[in-house]
Amino acid sequence: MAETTVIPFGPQHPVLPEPVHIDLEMQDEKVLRAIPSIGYVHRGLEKLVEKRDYQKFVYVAERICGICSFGHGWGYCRAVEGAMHIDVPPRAKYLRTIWHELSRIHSHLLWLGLMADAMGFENLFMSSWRMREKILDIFEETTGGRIIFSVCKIGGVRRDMEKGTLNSIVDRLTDMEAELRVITDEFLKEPTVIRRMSGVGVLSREDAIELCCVGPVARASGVVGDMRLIDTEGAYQDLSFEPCVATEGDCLARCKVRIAELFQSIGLIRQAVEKVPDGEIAALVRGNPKEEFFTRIEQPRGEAIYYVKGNGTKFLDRMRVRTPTNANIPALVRALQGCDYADVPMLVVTIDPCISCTER
Amino acid sequence: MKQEYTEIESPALLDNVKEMKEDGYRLVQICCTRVPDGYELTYSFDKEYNFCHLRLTVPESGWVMSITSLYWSAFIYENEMHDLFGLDVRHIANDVDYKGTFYRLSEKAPWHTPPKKPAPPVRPQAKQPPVSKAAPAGEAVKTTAKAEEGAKEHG
Repeated sequence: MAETTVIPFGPQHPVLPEPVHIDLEMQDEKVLRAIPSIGYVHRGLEKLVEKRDYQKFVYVAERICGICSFGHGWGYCRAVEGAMHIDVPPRAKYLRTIWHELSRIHSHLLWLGLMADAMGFENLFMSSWRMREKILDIFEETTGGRIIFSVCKIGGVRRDMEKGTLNSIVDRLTDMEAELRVITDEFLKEPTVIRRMSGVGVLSREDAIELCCVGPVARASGVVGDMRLIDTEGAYQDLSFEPCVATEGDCLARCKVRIAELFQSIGLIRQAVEKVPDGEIAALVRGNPKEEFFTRIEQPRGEAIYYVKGNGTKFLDRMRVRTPTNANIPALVRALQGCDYADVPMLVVTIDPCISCTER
Repeated sequence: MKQEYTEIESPALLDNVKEMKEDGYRLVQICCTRVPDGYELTYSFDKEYNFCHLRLTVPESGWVMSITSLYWSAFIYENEMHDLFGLDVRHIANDVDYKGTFYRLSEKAPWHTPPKKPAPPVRPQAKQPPVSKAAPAGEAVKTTAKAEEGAKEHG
C-alpha cells in the first residue's frame, strides 16, 4: 500500500481568488481526505454591530462581500425591518428584486469566467467577464456604484428608477441574452468542457440532503429548494418561475444550473419591470429595534440567513450572517474525497466558494 | 416569516436534535449570542420551507454537547463558536475537531466579552471665558526662583 502524503492546497493558488487552505491527504493521485481551514480574511464584522448605529450598519453589511453586496445589504435590512415591524412599500420591493436579480447575473457570469479560467479556457473567461461589464454599467447608471451600491436602506431604497431606465435595462438584457446564448452553448456543448466536467465531483442527492447544502450546489444534485419561492419581502410572489434543477450532481450539472439561472434572472427582471407599481420607495423609520428576527434570502450562491437582536438602543446586541458558502463547505469536503488531484481546482470552483462571505 | 423558538435545556439538546433529524429536518445554522449570564444558542432547522428554532442558554462556565454525530455539517458552526466565543463544545467528531485552529486568530476567543451598551455621547462643553494674557502665578514663581539661582551663581 502506497504511503499517504499531505499536500497543502491554498491559501495562495492560481484558481483561488480568495484564501482558503485545504490539506489534501493523498494516496498516489487520489485524495483520501480534505481538511479545510479558514481565517485569513476574518474581519469580525458581526461584532462591529455593537459599535455602529443600526441604520449605518447597512454599509458594513454590504461590505461582507464584493460580489453579492446588494444581497447582504438587503438581507440585513429585511432582518431589521422584521424586528421593527416596518412595511416596505411595494415599489421598493420591486426595485430591490430587480437589483438583486442583476446581482445574480453578475455573480454567475463572474463564476463562469473563473470556471473557464480554472480549466484554461481563456477566451471563454474573457467573454464571460466582458458580458459582466454590461451588468456593472447598469449598476453604475442606476445606483452610482459598480460593486458597492449603498442603495438599500432600512425601510426601502434610496434611489428610484424611471420607467425609461427600466425599459432600457430590459432592452439591454434582451440584447445580452442572444450573446449569452453563444457563450453558454460553449460551456454546455463544447466536447473539451464536457469531458473535463462530466462525472467529476459527483455529489449524490442523499449526500446533498445529509450535508445540508444550499443553492445551485443542492439544486444540481436534485434537491428542489429556492428561498425565492416563499419570499414575501421581494416581488417574487407576483412573478412566475420554477427553480432550476439538475439531477446528475457533478461539476457539469452545477454549471448547467447556474447557466439556467442566468436566463431565469433575465426573465424575472423582465416580468418585474412590467409589473412594477408606482408609489413611495421608502417607509418612515422611527425608534430603535427591540426584538430579534431571523430572515433568509436566496443569494446567488444559495440560501443566506440574517439574524438581528435589538435592545431598544441604536446599537444592536447581535447580528449574525450564515452565508451559503458556510453551508456548502461540508459538501466540498465530501466531494473531494476520492477525486483525482488534477480535479481538485475544478471541484473547488464549482462550489463557487466565497471566503470573504464565510469569514465575515 | 414566523419566529418561533422552542426553549430546551442543555442536557436535552441531543434528544431534541435527534427528533428533528428523524423528522427529516435540515440543519440551517447555529447562532451563538453572548448574553450577560452566558451563551444563548439557537439551532435553526428547515423542512419544506418550515423554518424553526431550538434555543438553549449555557452558563459562562458551562459546556454544550456537539451535534456532529447527528449532523456532521455542524462542525463549521461548532468550531466557529469555540474559536470566536470560547464556548466549550464537547465531543465534536474526531475528523473535524480543529481544537481551536479553525480560524487563524491573533487573539484567543475575541468575542468572549458580552456586548456593552456604549456610553452616551459627551456633549461639547460651554465656551470658557477668555484667559487673561498675564502669565499664570506658577510660572511667575518659577521665573523668580530661576532669577534667584542666577543671582547666587553670579554671587
